[in-house]
Amino acid sequence: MLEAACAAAGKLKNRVYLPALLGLLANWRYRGCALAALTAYGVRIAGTLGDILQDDTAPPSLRRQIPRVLRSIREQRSVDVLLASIGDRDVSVRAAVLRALNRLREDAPHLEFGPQFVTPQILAEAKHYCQLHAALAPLAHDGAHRAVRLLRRTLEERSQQTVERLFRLLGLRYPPQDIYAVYRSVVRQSPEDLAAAVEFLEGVLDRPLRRVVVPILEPAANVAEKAKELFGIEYPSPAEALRELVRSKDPWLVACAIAAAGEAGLSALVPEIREIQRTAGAEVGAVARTALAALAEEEGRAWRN
Amino acid sequence: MAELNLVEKVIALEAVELLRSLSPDQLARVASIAQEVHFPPGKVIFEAGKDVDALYVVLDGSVAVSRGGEVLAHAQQNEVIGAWALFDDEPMQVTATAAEDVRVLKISRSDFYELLSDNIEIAAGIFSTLVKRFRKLVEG
Repeated sequence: MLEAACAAAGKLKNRVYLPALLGLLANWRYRGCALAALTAYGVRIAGTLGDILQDDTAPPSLRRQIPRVLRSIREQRSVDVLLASIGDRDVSVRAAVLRALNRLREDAPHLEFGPQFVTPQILAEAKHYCQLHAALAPLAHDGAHRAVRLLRRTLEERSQQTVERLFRLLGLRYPPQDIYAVYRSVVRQSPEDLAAAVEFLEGVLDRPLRRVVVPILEPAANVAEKAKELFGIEYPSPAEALRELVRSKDPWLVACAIAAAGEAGLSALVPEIREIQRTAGAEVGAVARTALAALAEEEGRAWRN
Repeated sequence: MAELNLVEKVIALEAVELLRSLSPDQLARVASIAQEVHFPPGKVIFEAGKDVDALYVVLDGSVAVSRGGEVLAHAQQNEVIGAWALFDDEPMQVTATAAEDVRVLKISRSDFYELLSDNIEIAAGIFSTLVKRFRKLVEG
């Protein structure tokens, strides 16, 4: 019944049905027919879709679906709406926007993909990669604590996702097939492939981009040096690295960093963890409670000894 | 014993083979729908011939898996029972009974489907693990 109603709404293209169709995007059972119906409305609803995409009070699960509609509407307006969200704070939304833009570039190469939006975002992602690298470096040798290992895995995963987003952005400015081939080489991590990738990028990228993108593909020690030189990023101690992560607005990173601080006995972070316990949601608050209990126990043991 | 928090649940789920290819972020999303449940010794967790609508990850204790009264195996820490229940609503072939005090993480099928619908990359990761397992079986 609902499928038929969606199909009819798509044929009628009456705006009165838009709220109901958008509501169905959040329901996996009817998402397919809602996507098809919204696509049938065409470019006239691109602005409305953009409003939802940019509304950070809307559920991310809904916002992530909007680029799927826009990528099927092969018009310049879709590209413009997507480009406006290219730097969204939520990385899952950002990734969905980039996937849609890459698809549009492939399907409609005549459209304009605004280098004035893309270039600053490439620089922003490169900086983000260096920040993750700096946070990861002081934790690299702690194999004893399970929460530290989990945090390290999270940071490594985030770094890989950042590299993927960076190459997706490059694919909007340079020939997408070539950039994809370079990305595959980077992922494979074989020295020959990497050397060829660096050579290609050095030949193709404009100077400002070459300066920040190529160092990311270099060995870790060089990345540290370049992070300092390009973005002024200093490499912190383990406690400072965890403090920065605890202060980040990313709930999962905050939870991992708090658990790692608790396990590693870093009582210098107690004020920050108390603050998180007071202000965070239930799940992160529970992690903070456990960490504070572990740190109090550790302190008690130190006093007794 | 205190309830596991989100990070502790993720650390427990990291050891589950079915979820091995998932990233910590993805595991955190699975952990957020996992409920901690306790079973005293002798308590039946699920029964042969009946519908099961959840997967269980053993956190502590031992679970006897039996068919027709004969114990076939014991599921221990980090092992999964009822994995197929997530993908198949046919009745179970075996009975699972707590052999001692057992603590498990329970992931219900409906919550899991809801999660997969918004996280296609989790579905892809689980498919990849299942395909590897199937290939290993076929290729011996």
